[in-house]
Amino acid sequence: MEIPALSDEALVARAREGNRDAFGALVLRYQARAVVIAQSILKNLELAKDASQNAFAKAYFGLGRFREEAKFKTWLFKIVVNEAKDVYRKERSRGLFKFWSAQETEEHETESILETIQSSGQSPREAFEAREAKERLERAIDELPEREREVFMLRYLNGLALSEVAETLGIAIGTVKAHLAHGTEKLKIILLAPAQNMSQSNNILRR
Amino acid sequence: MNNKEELTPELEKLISKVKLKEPPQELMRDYLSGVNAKIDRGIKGSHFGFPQFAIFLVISAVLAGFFYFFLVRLQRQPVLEVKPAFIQWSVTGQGTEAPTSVVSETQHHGTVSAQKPLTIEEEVTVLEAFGDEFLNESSDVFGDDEALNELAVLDEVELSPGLANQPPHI
Repeated sequence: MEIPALSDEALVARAREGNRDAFGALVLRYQARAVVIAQSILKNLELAKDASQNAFAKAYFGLGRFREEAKFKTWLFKIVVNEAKDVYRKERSRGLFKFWSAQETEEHETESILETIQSSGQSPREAFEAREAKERLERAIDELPEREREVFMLRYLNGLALSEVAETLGIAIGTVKAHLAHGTEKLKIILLAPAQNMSQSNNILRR
Repeated sequence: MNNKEELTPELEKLISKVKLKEPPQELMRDYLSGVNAKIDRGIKGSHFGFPQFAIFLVISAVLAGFFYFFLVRLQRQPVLEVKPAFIQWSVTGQGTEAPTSVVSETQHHGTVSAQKPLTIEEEVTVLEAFGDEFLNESSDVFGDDEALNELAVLDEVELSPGLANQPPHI
């Protein structure tokens, strides 16, 4: 059987024996998802790429600690999330020193993490509405607290199961559900509340 | 995407119109080689730039300050050892014979209570002996007997009542 056709478990077993091709196959299998997850935290594609590459390298060196009963995918995503958060913190602290080290610090602009789903035969009006919906949703997600945003993104935009979200973030499934409930409630208020209730929605969001 | 039980229909409709942005192909072309390069380096490229240097400098300064105040400065501080000092007289002679020694040194408190109370005559003798001893010791120190004798003479001179009542002219 060729390497790319092997299951995650088989590839992990070979990679543990030092087979770099097997690990390369795992990288190719999950690289896009890893970058997207890192990008949802960092909101910058270059930083997300670098952070996810670091995560893969760490995963390679940590294969000995990987437990067989866990899924490689969620184990990897956990490393990606932690690495992306680490890079985010470093970038934020680097921003504090921007005044002194302007020549050294690269400016990383925030990029959009969502895109509209193009369907065939979409009218210009529908395309416009979809773009507007994307921007509203992205702004609303940005207003969520960090953990609720992470849970929401992993669950609904990355399509992970509840158990996978829990494993990726290292929290209980019940906690995931609670974060989802709070997060979706807040999103509903932000997205659907009329303009006059904005002050009320702001009060709810601050809780 | 299944199990969207938490979503309202409106929110679900909104989410169905969007997806996470896929990374462009050109960005991902050298992705695997980048991962391999990081693995070959052994560790991820740690960046020690100006912020890290500044943080290191601040922490070093704080630690040096603590070290100075809590170790160096405390060691330099002189220890003031205050011991109660008192004078002990030991009277060995009888009558008008002067006592043999006047001892001035730091002693234990217990020796005070052990002393026998002196009679008035003995006290006078001790005071006179102390005066003589003091003069002798002072003359040894200053080495000027004449000046001390003059001072002793002046002490004996009685001031006239008029002079005694006048304030001193400075």
